[in-house]
Amino acid sequence: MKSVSIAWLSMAMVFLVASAYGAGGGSATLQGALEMARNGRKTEALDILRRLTAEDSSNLEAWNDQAALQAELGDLDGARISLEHALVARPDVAVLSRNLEKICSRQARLAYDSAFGTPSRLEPLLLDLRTAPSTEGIADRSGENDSLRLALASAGLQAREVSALRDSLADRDKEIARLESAPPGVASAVVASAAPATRSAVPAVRSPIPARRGGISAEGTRSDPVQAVEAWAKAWSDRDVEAYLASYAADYHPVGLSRREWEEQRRDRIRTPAWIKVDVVSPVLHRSGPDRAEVVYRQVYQTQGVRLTSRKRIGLTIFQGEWKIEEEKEVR
Amino acid sequence: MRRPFKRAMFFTGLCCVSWVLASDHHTGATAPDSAESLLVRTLDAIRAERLDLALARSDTLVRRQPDFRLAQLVRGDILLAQTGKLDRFAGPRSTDPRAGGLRDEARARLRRYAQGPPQDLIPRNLLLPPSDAEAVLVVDSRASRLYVFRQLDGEWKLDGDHYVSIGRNGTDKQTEGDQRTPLGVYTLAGRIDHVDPYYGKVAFPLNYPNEWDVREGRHGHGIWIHGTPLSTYSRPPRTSNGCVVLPNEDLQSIQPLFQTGKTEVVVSDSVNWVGRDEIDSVRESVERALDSWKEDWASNEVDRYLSHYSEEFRSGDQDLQSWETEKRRVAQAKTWIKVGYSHLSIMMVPGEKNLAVVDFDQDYRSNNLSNQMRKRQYWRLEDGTWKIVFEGTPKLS
Repeated sequence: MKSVSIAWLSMAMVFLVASAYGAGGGSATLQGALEMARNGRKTEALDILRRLTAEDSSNLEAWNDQAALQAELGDLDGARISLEHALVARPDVAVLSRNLEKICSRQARLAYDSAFGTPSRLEPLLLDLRTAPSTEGIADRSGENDSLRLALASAGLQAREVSALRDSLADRDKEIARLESAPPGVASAVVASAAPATRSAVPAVRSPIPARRGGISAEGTRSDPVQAVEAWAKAWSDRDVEAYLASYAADYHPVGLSRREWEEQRRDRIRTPAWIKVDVVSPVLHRSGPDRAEVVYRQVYQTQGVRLTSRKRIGLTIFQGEWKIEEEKEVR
Repeated sequence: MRRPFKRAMFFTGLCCVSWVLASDHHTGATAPDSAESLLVRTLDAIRAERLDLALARSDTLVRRQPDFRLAQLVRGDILLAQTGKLDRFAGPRSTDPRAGGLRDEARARLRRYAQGPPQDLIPRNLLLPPSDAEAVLVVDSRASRLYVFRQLDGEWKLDGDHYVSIGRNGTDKQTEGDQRTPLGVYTLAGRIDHVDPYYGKVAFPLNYPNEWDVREGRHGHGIWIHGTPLSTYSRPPRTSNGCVVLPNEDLQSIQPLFQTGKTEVVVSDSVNWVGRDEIDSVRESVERALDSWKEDWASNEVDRYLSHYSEEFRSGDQDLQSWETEKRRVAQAKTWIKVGYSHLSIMMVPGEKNLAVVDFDQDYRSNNLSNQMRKRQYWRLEDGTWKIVFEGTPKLS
């Protein structure tokens, strides 16, 4: 028993040290890359980082370091793309968002300078790093280290999820390529129709069960289950945490977390991204009792650089006259 | 990225560009890979709230055309919108006096894609363009557009259009240095291959002031069609000293059609697009008046001949009175006259009400004098009758 917990503890320590100093588990190369960069061998360092991110697209440190190095070498487009890749894996890591914001601001400034033909004096662009060699560097940026470490530690990011995210990014690139090759009229028609299409699909699918819409419950519910799901998705999109949490029944039990921990986690995940858009596409309603219903639909979750599609099943129950979520599942 | 997207503000900013795009109205006369087309597609993506796509397209655009200032500005806006810090068109540079010009350029270029040139209609000015010319150019100053018309299958048809900039103070040039572009029908008067790089690579002077401008007391000189400085893709709509300015790429693509002394350039404030029926009926009424004038001249009955001339007639130093005196004197020695004409062209003069400029090769024979000449007349519709208000030779430079 004791040996088990010691083993666990030492593993945890290794992980902490690894994430703080970029050592451990393949990180010798990351460390090596940074050492190289410090010694002026930046292009070689960049090659190593590229290899690292290609091997493991969830390696946030490598992505961030790669972006920093690209920015330093003047490849702002490349740096932006690196950060977007990292943010696909973890949209909620502040240091990545902040760095992306810095890159975008700098690129905007350069674009404006070109627009007005007035180059302004530019100070060097420094991205936030957690790769500082000296201890004071680490101390200075302890907050960011924490957020990055936290991100890594809590990376409950399963391989499947990562690959789904990567696929969605590839889809986006493909779509862009497709639209780029289409003539403007076609492109705009595609773009214009993309958003409304998801909306207009909703009533079409719902129409088979019009009689069930609204006011069924003896308790005088004002909404129906589909509307409740849509309101919940809207609260999520609006990043309105209170309304979002209020969509859940009091006895909703999150898996593996206490209700309180879950609420904190949701608050963080919803507030952190700059924007979120959740679309409820093709909802189908199943009634399992007078006060129970299930809504199955396709969920399109989008945030900066991410588009995730999944099939969801939401179980609802009537609570104080309103449909509330009591179960949430991804359907395969 | 913690800040809210401020997307609404971004769109408010671009609404200053008076959002008129309607995807089903696109008229793709311009190549889909042109810089302008890429710009419009970028703006289109913004409108569809696809900032990722907009950014990707602006990447492509500025890689292709890094000196396209408007494209750089739009890209700046897109990038800044990603950080949530964009609150208006041109963001932190919105107070730069040049931002307004670039916004106007965006507006003009977008409007072209929203409305496009009308299909199957042609400008009312082109009653009968010179048949031996490769092309006729029509400038619409309000639309910031130059339309190229060519003869295809025996008919004058639109064969491309281009963004143009004109004078700082607009059109209707009157005096030297008024920074205005003249309104009228002009002819390309030459070609200058070695220009200051500020004017691009090549310039084509117009024959401003033409005979009508002289008659109206307008002066000034040096009105050219030219390109942009070599480091500037295009200039905002009103930035020239009176010249018509095209992006170098556009000028290069159309200049092979330019013919000194032959290519007509119609400069108008707002093109009146009409159907071919209307063109035909107006052209025929001018042709009937011209035939009648020719026959009356050949009849050697001076009163009939003079009935075609307006009270306002002038030719050089002569007014109607002195014209009449001379014609009556000459007529006394004539026993017979024959008048023929060929290579007729008829153009309506913009900025004037029912004024047509008529050019033809005149073949005049009589018992004591014969000559061939290129003649130019201005005819004006007065109380339903076409009358000659000017007669002379074309002033070609």
